[in-house]
Amino acid sequence: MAYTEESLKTELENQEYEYGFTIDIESDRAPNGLSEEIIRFISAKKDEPNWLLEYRLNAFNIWKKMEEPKWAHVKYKKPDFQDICYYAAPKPKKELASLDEVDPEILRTMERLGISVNEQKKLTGVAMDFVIDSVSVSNSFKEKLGELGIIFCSFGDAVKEHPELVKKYLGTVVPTADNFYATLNSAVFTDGSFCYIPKGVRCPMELSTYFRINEAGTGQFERTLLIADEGSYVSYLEGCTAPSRDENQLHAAVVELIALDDAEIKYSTVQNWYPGDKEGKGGVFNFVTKRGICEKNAKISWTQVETGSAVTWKYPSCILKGDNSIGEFYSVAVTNNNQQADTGTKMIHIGKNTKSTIISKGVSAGHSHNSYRGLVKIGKGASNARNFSQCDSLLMTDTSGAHTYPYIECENSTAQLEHEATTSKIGEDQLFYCKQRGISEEKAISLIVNGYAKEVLNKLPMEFAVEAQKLLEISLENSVG
Amino acid sequence: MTTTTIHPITENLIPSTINNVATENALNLLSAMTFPTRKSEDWKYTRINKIIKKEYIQKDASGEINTKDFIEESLNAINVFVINGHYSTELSDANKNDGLVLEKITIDNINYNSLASNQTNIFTTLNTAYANNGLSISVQKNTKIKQPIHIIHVNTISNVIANPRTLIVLEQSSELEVIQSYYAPTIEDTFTNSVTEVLVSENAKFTLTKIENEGANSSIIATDDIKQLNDSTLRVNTFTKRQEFARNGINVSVDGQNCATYLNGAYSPIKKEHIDNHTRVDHLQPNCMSSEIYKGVLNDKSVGVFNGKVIVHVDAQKIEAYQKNNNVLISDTATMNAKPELEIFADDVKCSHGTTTGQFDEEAIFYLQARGISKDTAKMMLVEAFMDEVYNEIENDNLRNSIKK
Repeated sequence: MAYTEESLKTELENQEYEYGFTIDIESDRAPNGLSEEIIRFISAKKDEPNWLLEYRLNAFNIWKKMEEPKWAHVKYKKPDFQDICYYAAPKPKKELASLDEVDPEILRTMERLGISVNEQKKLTGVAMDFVIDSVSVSNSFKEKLGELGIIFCSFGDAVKEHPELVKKYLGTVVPTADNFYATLNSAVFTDGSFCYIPKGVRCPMELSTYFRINEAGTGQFERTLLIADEGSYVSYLEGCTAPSRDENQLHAAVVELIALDDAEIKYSTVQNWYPGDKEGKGGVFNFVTKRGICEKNAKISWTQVETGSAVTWKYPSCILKGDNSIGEFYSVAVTNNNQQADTGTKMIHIGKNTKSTIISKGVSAGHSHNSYRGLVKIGKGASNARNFSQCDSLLMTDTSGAHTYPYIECENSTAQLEHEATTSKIGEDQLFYCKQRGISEEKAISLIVNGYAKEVLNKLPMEFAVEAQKLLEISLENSVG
Repeated sequence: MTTTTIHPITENLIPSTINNVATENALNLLSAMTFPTRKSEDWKYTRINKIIKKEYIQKDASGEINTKDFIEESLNAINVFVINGHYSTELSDANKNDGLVLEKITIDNINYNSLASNQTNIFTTLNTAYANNGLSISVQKNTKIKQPIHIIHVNTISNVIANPRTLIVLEQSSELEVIQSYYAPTIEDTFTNSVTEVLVSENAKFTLTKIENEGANSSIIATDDIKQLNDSTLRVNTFTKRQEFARNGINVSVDGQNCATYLNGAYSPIKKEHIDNHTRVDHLQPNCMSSEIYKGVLNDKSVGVFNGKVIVHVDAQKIEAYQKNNNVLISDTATMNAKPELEIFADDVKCSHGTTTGQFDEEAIFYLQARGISKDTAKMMLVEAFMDEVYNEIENDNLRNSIKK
């Protein structure tokens, strides 16, 4: 069927968000607003020990004195923190042993998302911690992981079953007073994932969590804590979709990774939250704090594919504390229509012989703005530290913007730092070459962009790579400049 | 209601008489402004408390100096003396060039204060409010001035604040080279707050080379606000030699097509010197090119800052903008903070920036040592080779040789 460029453009512009539907599950929600009572309510609902309540209240007291940061290159209507529901959970049901007991509505949702739990369980060997609106509903493969001593459960369960681990590590990488949204999260987080890999264990499968923001007007405050004990290895996947609606939804998650001596953590994200409609109305605010700490010889690798959200504000970081530790950051961020993204990373070199690599690829289309903001800091004691950063931006239209703000701070003479950035549009001759060979402009652009982002996509685990490529295509199809 | 702030730095100062309206506005602005702290993004790596918390004195051009000490004969330039921020017609050479006018800025000069970043930079505002005399240079249409102008800024007493103000206007198809050098010999705690406004008209070519060499106890904040029109070429070279504190702000607004802009700089701080280079190039029109090369060698406990910003505005298509910043740290206690930024709002552009921070190649040093060259000499040779890229950007051979000395 022959498309003209114009008709294709109209069609794609009007294309509604594929995953935009709301599911009806009865939910138990707190009244809107934030106060000490609400925090006590959340804590009581979740049956939490006293120390955690104290932790929340302390964070709330700090938060009250903080101001929202304004330095990011994004413009948005400030969320009204008193108009957000801080707790919504599917009504507690009895413990689930098999999938049959799961709400059929949820199963259907997963199917529409293209994830069949049954299939996933059997074929891919992925253990799923499926989160719908803050509370984990199904948690498969738990038993199998349990045999190896791996703990992979919802944050709430971890607090009940492994309080010593949670207490020891919670807030050690992202301190309570870290930043406005992290502090807010510390006060009101509802649930999230907890993972512990014991000494010397190589986790045999990719661990994954699917987040979905569901209840209308619900802020999502997820908390993820991942600990890889000495010599262990884990690959963790996180992917998201959300239903479309009109009011802005706030998402302020905190992810803390702890890689002890010789451990390795690979953390991959595919983020495809509702970006808002063509005018940029609705859409998720994604203000996330992600940070990992590496002890001796440890390695943390962040890989992210960001295509969704109206506003993204996210800097997955590595603190390279131990000698010989390694931090990596691979990112593809695509913005279209009126999306705004201010994303990047921080590599903080403290130990000797530490290494970090940053590869960031931005694609801006429509009226969107895409910024890279990254810090590479070499401390006084970080002898022989090595960093390589590359951030490239691709501009699809003359109404979009691409910005780069790298911060490079070096206090050690033996460090070696390289940073390079380029901004350009798709080469006319590349396009011409493809078109000459009978490839349509749309297909050619998708081909070129996929090639451009390949360096990062290659770093994704198999399960994600396919999904990510599909996402890139969908996000970019309507972006001929 | 507006709050009025009285800044200690202005305590003893007499306001500018160049243009009363401009002075009045600047004083009003100043009382509503506060000096930036490290919380402000533009001053993140540079503390200015030491400079602004002090009280300074103003001094006229009467200080005794031996002009011969500062003149560089090989340049064969028109030497213009600015003493404690005051343009001195007595000490300066007579101008024998047709089409070139050198004079004090007067109220009739319509270009005065038209380009200065008073609204955004408090130090420019401070200069506009307290600059007690200014130097105006203008070149008439189709005139090529072969002789460079060497503006020699000298501070003669300790604790002096100098607010030199320079206005340079190049009319269509004219050409001019200006060298600004700064000295404060054998005295301490001086603060030079220099502002230079430059208008480069159609098809004009302008070169500005700044040499900052005030010594180990003096601070300088030098702001250049430059506007380029169609087909013009601009070169600004900044060399910071011995200077306890330097903050160079170069703001170029490229408001014409087919312009070329070159900004280059070199710094090699020692001891506790702090050298901050901020550049900002605003591409407002299509089909332009800009290039920046800044290089530094940092020793002892010195701190270097580089912040280059290129903003390509909406519809400024076909822009090529390149930025390069390379640094070598030769001591374990030196710090370098680099922040090359790109903000791009047009799609058909080629922009890139690169920055590196590292140390000398041990193998290169070994290679030289193996040939009987001492380690120190080998390092010197490598520094020279490293810096040469910036020095080679100076088109005037005599000037290049005198700076390299």
